Amino acid sequence: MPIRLENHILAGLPPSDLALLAPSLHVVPSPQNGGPQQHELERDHVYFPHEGIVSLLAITPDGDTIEMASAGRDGAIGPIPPFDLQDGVLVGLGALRASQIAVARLQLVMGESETLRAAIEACGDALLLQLRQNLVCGGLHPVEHRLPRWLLEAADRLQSDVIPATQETVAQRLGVRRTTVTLLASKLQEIGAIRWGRSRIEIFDRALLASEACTCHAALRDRMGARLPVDRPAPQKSVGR
Amino acid sequence: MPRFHFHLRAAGTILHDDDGSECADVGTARAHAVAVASQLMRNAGGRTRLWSMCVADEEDEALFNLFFADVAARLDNHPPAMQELAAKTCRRLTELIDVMCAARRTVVESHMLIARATGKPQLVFARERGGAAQALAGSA
Repeated sequence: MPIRLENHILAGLPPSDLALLAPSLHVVPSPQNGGPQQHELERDHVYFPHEGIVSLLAITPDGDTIEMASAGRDGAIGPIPPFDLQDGVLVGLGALRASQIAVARLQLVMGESETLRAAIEACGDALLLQLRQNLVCGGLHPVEHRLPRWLLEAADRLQSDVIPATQETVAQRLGVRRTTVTLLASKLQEIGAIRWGRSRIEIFDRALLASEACTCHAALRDRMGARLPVDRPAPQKSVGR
Repeated sequence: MPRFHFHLRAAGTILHDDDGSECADVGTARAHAVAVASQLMRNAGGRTRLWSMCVADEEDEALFNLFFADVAARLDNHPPAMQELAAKTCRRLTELIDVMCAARRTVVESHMLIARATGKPQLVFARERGGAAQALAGSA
């Protein structure tokens, strides 16, 4: 059955590149219908999300986590050559539907097409940009501004103002305690920017939320926009499997 | 395991932790409160040093206050007089916020009473709550 290519990277490839990838691309099944559950994904695969978000988490020996980078349908994530992200864990958020390819196979295919190589390298650049911006953000900005930033970026990646995540999930992404997120979410609700249900966040006032966020959201969006087809609607293409 | 609530006094209001977190005992709850306070203060400048947290039990009865000024690492570099001033200001602000929130609650309840008395639809509801919000400053 053909895959609808809602991922902007895959959709932007010429048919000849898609034909090279098609035999090795597999769709990650979505075990749950929506919801805030996290699905741990295979570390030796690169993911091209069509729906939902894939996050790369760092885990400390104590079990604390923090999000290093993430991708929605605007990008790709995983051990994109030359990055070795074996220490991280890839998890999905929401009703995930993504095409995956084993990194060893991707490396082989990249050698066969210059356009494909350029597209994947752009994804690697975007990943590096995120890592750099998250390093700055985590080191310099208060969690009070990091939470609105995360919500805005999640909404951007999901292309929706509804984010299927619990406060516990968001706390794991930000590397803080759940109570910290609860208190800051309470503030954002008080000012009318969001409503946080048991397992979903609804953004009511995006401009207000942006005014509470640090500058990293806008900075990263602009820089990634120059490398990836972030705002371009995905062409309607499909590929086998 | 008992559940504790960690209500934050910040920017003139009380932000409620309705769900709470399970902690083994009051000592663990205090350590959790210190960790959360540290996370909120990190990179936030001096503003958060005047915040405080009211830790309440399962029935939302206040157990103790944690004053951020008491756990702000950066204050260690200041002279003792400055540290004392920050601690005193933090406690006074806590009292002030409690009074402000109690006054707001009274206003809301008054509106509700008037709405009921005049047979109008009850358009307002109490967002401020009793219990933990009435924690006395200095009870830590």
